[in-house]
Amino acid sequence: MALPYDPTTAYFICGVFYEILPLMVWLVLAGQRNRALALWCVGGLLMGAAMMLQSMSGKLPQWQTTVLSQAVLMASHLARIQALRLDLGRPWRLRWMLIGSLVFLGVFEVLRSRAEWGPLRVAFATTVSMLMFSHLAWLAWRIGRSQGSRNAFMIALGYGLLAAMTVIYILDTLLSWVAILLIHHRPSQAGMLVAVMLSSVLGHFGYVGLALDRSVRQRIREAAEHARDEVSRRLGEQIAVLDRRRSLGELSASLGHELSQPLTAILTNAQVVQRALRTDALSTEQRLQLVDEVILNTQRASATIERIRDFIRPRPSRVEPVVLQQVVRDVLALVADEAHGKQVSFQLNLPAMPIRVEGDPIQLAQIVLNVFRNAIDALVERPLRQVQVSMAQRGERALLTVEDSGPGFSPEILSHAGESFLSAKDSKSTGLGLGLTISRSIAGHHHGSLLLRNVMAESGGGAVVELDLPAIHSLADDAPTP
Amino acid sequence: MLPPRRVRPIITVDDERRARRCAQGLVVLIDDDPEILAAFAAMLDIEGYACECYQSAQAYLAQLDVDQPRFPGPVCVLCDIRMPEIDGLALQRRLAELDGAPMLLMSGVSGAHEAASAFRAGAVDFLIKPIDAEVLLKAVAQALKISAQQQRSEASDICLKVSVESLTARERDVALQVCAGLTNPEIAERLGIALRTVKLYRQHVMEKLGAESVADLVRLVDRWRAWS
Repeated sequence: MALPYDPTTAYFICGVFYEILPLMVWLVLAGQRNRALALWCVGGLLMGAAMMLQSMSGKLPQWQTTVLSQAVLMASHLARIQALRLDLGRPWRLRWMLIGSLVFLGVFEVLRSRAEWGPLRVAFATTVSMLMFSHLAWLAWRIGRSQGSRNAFMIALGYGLLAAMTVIYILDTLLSWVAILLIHHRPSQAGMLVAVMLSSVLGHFGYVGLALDRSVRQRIREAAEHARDEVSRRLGEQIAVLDRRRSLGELSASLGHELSQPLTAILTNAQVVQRALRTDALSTEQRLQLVDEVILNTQRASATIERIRDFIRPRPSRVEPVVLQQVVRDVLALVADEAHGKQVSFQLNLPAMPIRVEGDPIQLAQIVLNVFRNAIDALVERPLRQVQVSMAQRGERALLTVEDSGPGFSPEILSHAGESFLSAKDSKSTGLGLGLTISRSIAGHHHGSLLLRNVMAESGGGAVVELDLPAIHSLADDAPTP
Repeated sequence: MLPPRRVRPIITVDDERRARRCAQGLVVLIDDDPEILAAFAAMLDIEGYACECYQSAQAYLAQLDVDQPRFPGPVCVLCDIRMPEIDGLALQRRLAELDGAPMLLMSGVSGAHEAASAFRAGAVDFLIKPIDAEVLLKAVAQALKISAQQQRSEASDICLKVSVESLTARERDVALQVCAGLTNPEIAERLGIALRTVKLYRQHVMEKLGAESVADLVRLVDRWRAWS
């Protein structure tokens, strides 16, 4: 027989393959090492060690090449199975694996006690290995199915082939019934060893591919999540703009009145000057004074328009230091006429020291506008129509409290206060609910909260809205007091 | 000590201007916006009207309570509808009870609802801001004309009252009988006086009341009866 084939060398080469490839995998996947990868590589190394031990048959004490190598082989199977099972999220219990291994080794020892049971022993050990390979192939196939990964199928192919070749080897062993040594010269064994080599290559390359697949998928998922966040942020901004437009739309009558005041003054003053020039009445000084009035009222009108335009213009949210007192005053200017007309008086109790928060000035103004309008609406037909606005900084938090002398929030609103869109069925309070809900989500974006509650019934029972925001530590606090 | 001498008041240019303004009329301006007040005041001033400005309806009502000599010419009120505390419509109702100066209401919002309630409350006109000078002055002139008519009819009422009071009891009886459509002999018979005396009383009545015909007399007596 001129087959250039030496079983011990073949075993040894297979062992070397199984030593090198796991190391390579470990190095290639340096960026994404985890427990499953470690188990897979350790499993590969143990397999290599077991193959090498078997290749030393006759040179080392017999217990090392048989029991020890079988133990190491079993450990390598279990490590790789566990690696794939971790990927599937269904790991085996360590206790059962230990018990299984001990039972296997016990049976193996019993079979080893009699020399004539040699082939049976080989068949038994190889059958167990075959079952393990099949299981590995099945796990890899399942991973391939669930993740749609071609690389997992490659692993399945490698170990499926190995299992098939092992079956042939077992049948061969049982049929011959003459072999005493584990290593001897048979074609089925050579086929199995080729399959071992193939499986080592397919298995490890497949595993690298699988890990890379997974990292790509992870990156895609992250990108999708990012995109989703982006969409929801955009949507949030759009909702905020729509809410501001709705608010101003509802204020339009009073804003129109507010705008018509300076326009009236402008028109009338201009017409007085026109008449004075025609009839030569009034002194130059008086005429100049009238023109000054025209200019002054034009500025007044344009300030009002600017405020409105700021409020309804869609724009990306920005983050900057905002003085809360200024926000309250700006919003008060917007609702002044509305409050005036409904005979609601605002009492401001603002600290002289500016309270700063980090956020979008328009969105914060939107919260305050919604809260103020809610208070004004609640005060219609109440004998006492007052809104108290107070502000305080407590350590790292800025607290804006708006309390009205109205009837307070209904128990329904208070009980639904935590929901995303409260009482949409209740047509009467839909607008209110929406405005406050949007305000709450804006407060949330600013790492703050909007709290609704009622004052005790005996002290009036009015509604209280508290806006809690993280404050910027003001420089004045740090400065030593003189 | 010399007794206080009655000095004849000197009539200045200002007094003359004031007299002219009084003849043209007084416009009471009420708006919570001082800029608007100043602008309208300047416009009315240059057109020769007298002008008083109030920032709220209360301020005007408080001034009405104070017993001061009233403006001697026609008066109208130009008032914004939207004001705190007492708004234009409420003021209109109040004034109707007090002196009934004709009222012009104005608003920055052209709401049909507001216009309707303004007219229902008896406003002479409803003006939408910004108000063109022509529109404003026309409305003011119309309101003042109504005020002047009111004042004239008030004055003639007073005249009538005075002349009615100057009638003696008998003359009054005769006047009432004439208005009831009785002839002179019937009156003489009813009152038990001579026909000649009836004719004399009748002549006195006609002279004292300034009536030129029986129809005239009937009209005057009807008016007198209406408010007595």
